[in-house]
Amino acid sequence: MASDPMHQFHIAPIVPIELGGYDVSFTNASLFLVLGAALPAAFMLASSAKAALVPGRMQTLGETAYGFVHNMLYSSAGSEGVKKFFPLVLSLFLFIFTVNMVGLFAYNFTPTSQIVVTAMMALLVFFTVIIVGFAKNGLGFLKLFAPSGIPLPLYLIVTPIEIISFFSRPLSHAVRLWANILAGHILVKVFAGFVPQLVEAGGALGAVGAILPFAMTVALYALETLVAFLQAYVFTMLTCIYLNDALHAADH
Amino acid sequence: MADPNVPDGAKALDALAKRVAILRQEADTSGPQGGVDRNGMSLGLRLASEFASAILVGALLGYGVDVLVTSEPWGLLFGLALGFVTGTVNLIRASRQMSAAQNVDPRAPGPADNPDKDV
Repeated sequence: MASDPMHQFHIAPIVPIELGGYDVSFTNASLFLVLGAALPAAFMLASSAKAALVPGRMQTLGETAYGFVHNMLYSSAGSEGVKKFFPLVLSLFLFIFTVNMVGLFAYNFTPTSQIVVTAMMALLVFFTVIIVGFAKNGLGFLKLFAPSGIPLPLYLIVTPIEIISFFSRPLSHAVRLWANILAGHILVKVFAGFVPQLVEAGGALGAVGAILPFAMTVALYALETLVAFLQAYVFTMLTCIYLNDALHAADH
Repeated sequence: MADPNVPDGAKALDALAKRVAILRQEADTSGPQGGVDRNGMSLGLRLASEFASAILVGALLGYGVDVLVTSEPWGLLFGLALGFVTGTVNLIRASRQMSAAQNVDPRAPGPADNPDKDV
């Protein structure tokens, strides 16, 4: 069904593979995940191939992307954060951005509309925070759950709240990206689906009426392009904030 | 070289430095910082996910305590209640963050030029 708004999320195997009883087929999702890794890598390689003092077009683009993520990480986690986490944060941003943008084209699959993908990325950040936090601050990392400067009895309430807040981070981190992309893609498809339905049902009158949902689709597409960038930005921004906690938990 | 429209070297450099500074400042204040979370859906989804996830995790943690010490309904109930409290706290934090991100003082000093200086 062409006008089924959920059809775009179907996962279909391209190369069926079975390993030890498990289905590990190379699917359309795998294809676009690979693209999400390959395109940024190719982009970065191409933009740094010449490394000229006066940058060309490609190098300027690469430097802009690099500088954008560098600023984001530096402003929330400082130079120590940049030193430790820059590769992780840059990879995350470029991956999400590429995957979102590629997914905007018709017939393409968007891996970030699957919660498995976003949840794995959120958990990666979550466990990085825990491991680095304990490695760097030792047990001082637990001060994250007991902010200083409040009366003693209040700790009975504040500590559980902080613990729940900490564990709810990966969930909201993952759900935000996933829900935005999923909802946006469904919305675009629903409005686009109205166009052929109206023409089919109303003939010439329907065709005139179909201009309205068509205009809506165009407008929503513009919005989705913005959301594709914005959600990559927000995900990366939150990653920076969480990573900052890992480094500076003891000074809370 | 007697053209009065072409200033001499030092003055030209000064003028150029001024123009670069002005452009830098404009670029700083009109960056993506101001545009974040402007559209309603992403704002709503952000707040909703902050609130809902805290409740869910609170309930799950409470239920985990229940399973560990077999105190059947009480852990779940307390966890749920604490989850609501945490959700509200998360909401307040998120909205505070958003309003802080939007009211950027255009005359505030930007980040230092050399990020590696204070290593």
